[in-house]
Amino acid sequence: MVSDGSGFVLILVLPVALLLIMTALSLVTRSNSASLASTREARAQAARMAAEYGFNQVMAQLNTQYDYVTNRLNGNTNQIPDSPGSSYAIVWFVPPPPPGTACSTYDASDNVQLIVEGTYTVNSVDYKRKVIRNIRVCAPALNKLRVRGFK
Amino acid sequence: MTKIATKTSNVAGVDRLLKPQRKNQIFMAAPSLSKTTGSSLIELLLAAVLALFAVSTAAQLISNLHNSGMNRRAAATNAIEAAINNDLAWFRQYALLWRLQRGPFKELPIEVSKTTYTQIPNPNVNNLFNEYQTLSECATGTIAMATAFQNDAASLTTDFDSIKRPFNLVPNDDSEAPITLPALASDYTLVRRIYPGSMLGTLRITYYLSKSGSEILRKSSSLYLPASGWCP
Repeated sequence: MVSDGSGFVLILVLPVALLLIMTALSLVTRSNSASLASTREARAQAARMAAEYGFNQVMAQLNTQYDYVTNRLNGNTNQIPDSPGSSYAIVWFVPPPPPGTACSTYDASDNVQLIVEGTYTVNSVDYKRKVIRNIRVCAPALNKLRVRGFK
Repeated sequence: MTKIATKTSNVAGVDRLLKPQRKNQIFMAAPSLSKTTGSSLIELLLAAVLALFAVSTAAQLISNLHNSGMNRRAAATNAIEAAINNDLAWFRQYALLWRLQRGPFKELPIEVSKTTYTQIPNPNVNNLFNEYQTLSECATGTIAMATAFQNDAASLTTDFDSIKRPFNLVPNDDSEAPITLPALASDYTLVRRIYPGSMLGTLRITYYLSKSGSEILRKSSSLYLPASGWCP
């Protein structure tokens, strides 16, 4: 036996109930998305921090260890101490060929682009961020460099 | 299955008054479909709708409870990241000013630069170059330079126009310094340690995040001292 009332229920009330369920499901999904976005951002931040770490290390290396002939910077991956899952690698650095601009005055320098990529690995997933900066270098001696500034 | 009700006799002559009632009973439900033995389709649908509504409400409630926990964690994560970034930003800003002898700023107190500062003549966008003091620590090594920087940073206890005092404690050694976290991350403890870097002109700053006494995160960053680029 099907009455007019049951038709009303089928057409109006049932979709409302389904809509409520869909709303609940969408709330769960949206919340998970926000939480995942936050986690991803935190990991991207860790990768940025790794890239900054690498950038600072490279500038210190240029000042202390760099030699155009015997000890040029390489693109190997370097693990960051006391920071599990974090590493960095030099992606781009083309030093000026010797003799370069001598460090005769405070503003004498060559502009060089330096790109360092930081990586943060968690659960076998790599999060990568790059730092791209121009550095000013001068040559205090043949084959040597000093970083005079960066931007 | 329906049947027509039989007409009853009424000797009192009031049978006319009962007519309307009889009219309503012309179609009677068969026993198998009667209300006493099962539910009608309307009742079933209403029950289903009520059940769905109950499930929906329960799902929303569970979702809200779940969400509040996850959102709280996400907010705490963001707050912790911001606290670390702010702390690092202060060190980077101070590193740029430390031992600065000449630059684009009009003035820089000696309490900040720790050396005599003068402005570049006629500064413009084409000559905004910094010049730093030649440090005596260039000759004494990595640890000496990092220690000198850290000591000078620790001594900044006044706000200046060029830089405010540190947001968090800066110790003179590699001891733990607590990092202030906002209330929404009060369940966590964040501390920072500063070490001399592996190369001249660098420091390593490591942050340790823990909850209920157990460490859950460790992050290292580094600090480059621009003054080290002026070593001979």
